Amino acid sequence: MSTPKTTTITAPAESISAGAKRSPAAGKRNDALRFLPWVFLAPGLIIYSVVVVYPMLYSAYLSLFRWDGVAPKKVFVGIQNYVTLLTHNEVFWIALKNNAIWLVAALLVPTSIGLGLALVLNSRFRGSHIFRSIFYFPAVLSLAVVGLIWTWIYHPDLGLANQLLDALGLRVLKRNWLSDPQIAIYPVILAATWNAVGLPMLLFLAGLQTIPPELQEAAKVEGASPGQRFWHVTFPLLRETTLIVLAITSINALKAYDIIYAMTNGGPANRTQLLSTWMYFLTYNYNEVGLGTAIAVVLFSLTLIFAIPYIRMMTRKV
Amino acid sequence: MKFPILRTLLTAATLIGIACSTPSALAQDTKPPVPSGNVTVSFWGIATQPWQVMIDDFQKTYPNIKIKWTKYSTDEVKQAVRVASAAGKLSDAWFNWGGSLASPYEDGGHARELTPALMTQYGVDKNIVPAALDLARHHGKLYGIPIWVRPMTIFYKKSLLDKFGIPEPKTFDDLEQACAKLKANGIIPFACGGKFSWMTMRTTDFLIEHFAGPALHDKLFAMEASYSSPEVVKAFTKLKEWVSKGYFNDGFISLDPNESLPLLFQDRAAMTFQGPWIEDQNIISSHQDPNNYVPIVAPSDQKPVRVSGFQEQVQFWSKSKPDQQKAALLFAAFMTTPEVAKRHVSEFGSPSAVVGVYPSPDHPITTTMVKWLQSGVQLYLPTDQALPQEVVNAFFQAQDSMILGSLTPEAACAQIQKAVEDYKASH
Repeated sequence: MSTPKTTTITAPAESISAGAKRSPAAGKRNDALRFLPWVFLAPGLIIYSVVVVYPMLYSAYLSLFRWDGVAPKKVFVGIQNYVTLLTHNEVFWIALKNNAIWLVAALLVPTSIGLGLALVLNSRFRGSHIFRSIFYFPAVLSLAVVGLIWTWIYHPDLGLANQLLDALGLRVLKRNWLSDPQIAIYPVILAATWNAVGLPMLLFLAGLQTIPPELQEAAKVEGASPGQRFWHVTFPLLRETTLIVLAITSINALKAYDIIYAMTNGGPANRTQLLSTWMYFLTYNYNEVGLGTAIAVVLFSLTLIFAIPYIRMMTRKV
Repeated sequence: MKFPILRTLLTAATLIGIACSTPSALAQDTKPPVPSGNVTVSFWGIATQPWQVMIDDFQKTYPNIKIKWTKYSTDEVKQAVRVASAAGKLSDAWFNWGGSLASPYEDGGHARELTPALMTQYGVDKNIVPAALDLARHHGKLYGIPIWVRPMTIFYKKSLLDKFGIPEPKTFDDLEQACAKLKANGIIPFACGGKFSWMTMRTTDFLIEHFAGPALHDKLFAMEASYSSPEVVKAFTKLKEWVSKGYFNDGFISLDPNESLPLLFQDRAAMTFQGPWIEDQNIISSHQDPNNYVPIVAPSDQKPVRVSGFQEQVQFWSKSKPDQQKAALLFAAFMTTPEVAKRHVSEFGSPSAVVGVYPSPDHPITTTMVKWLQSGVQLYLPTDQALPQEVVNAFFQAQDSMILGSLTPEAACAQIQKAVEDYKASH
């Protein structure tokens, strides 16, 4: 393996002293250059401020008011909306619990399946490209479409799931999948998982292709079993990819909204609400803009727990 | 804030009003102003409603006016109007229901009031049946032009009831006996899609009407009587009993209303609680015989005879530019001109809110409903339009929780009453 050459460019002493004693014209030019990046950044920053930062701050501001979203007057109530959420709003806690279940499931299931598929599809075999496309296909569907497909699969009388169980003689396993409040969230998570496997699979595939094959071969020569090669060679080298996958999956899990809206509308009796959907229902359906935006602030804070390490990691790489 | 809810409706006076109306209603004292230049009117409406037929005719009549229809689903249009009103940028006109679904925009100054002078100018006072105007009024003022009146009631599948020798239910007891017999024959009595809670609510409302009667029901809507009263508890108990007996399809609580109708079409269910729109949108469009789906006056055994119902209207943004306002008002007035409404009745649907407009003969369901309205059957608003939306949330939650078994009927009623009291305390 060749060692990369490094070249150090040293500025001549006279140029440093010249820089130290800049002419006024050069100084002005340098000052202008210093602001140049901001000029290029300005359009993006302005758009970002208007469509992201301002609405976020305004939402936080609205969370301090009682307002139906339409009336000209808002009533300032301080942190009362947060107190109401934490002490009187039963559905908020159901939603928080569902978000926790969703998060754990999202971190474990699609990531593990995605990794498994990536390991299989990384080896070149006849038709591997077709399989990659097939397994990635659900990821290109919008969650609303995924929700629609799976709602029909779970239809209690006409759906594929119960009819299949019937055909297999497993009637005892038949359920009203989306209307049993004890289990309704899990069939939705399964539908979301079907959609969510593609992205981790793709990222892990990309990660696997950066691992030099020599390392695997060396381990093989040393007599390492396939399991040992995975745990001691492949997996450690996928560390960065894994962290990225976990961060993206966590953020997506907290953002989940459309599939719940499409499949259960938060029901039955609000048992499948997530923070995002409950925020929507309170704000738009039930005229409780203050409570809805208070949930938005809570959700944003939770998302930051995962977003900050992710952003730090990404910027450190740069 | 109290919601003026129960307006009594479509009574014999309506019948007289309709019967006496003649094309002379077209002759207005002052003609509505027509913008002279090219004008584009933004209009938000539900995608499944047949606005296009009216838009095409209107644009042909007024070539300088273009109606730009943005299509939404039922729940999306509610959201779009709410967001836009908060942002101060509504469409020039939008479709809306009445009651508490419209009152925030009316109280908030977003919907333009139709003053008596405007009503005369646009022919609203002469062209719209008085009962529809009563349903649309908020604190005695009108903020939109009613287009349709929608009664909601029980439909039964004639071929299925005939097959089992079940007569058309005329009383509450008849209805319960029909349910028992259907169930015994392996047929689901009611196809229901409770995913959004409002379809289940129609049955709950009917049971409250039966046990509480019109007077108490009206007081409940006005938040002047308690939801913990024994009559309401009885209604919730009956709902729970029907669910326990399997009178609704399995898993109905999370089913989309549209997913429940195939059960009726496939002879697996015999009845459903629906409105006249299913005639065009579901029955005729799926090549079913509309004569086989018979609406009955939901037998509450109460006087006056009432079924649940509401009007649907077009509202106008109070801050639109003058030309857009004129054009939007003109568009709604055009649709409610008896001559135009009659011309398009088969495509535009009914029951129309326009005087003297009857469904076409190939629409037996709406024809039956119009006959009821003309024979004195009155309407009461559904709970989700009668109560403030904050209380509707508690109503849905309590109703569905009781169905799922996590609340007793008493606890469910107490939960709704608490929401009513909280609302009254904070408003």
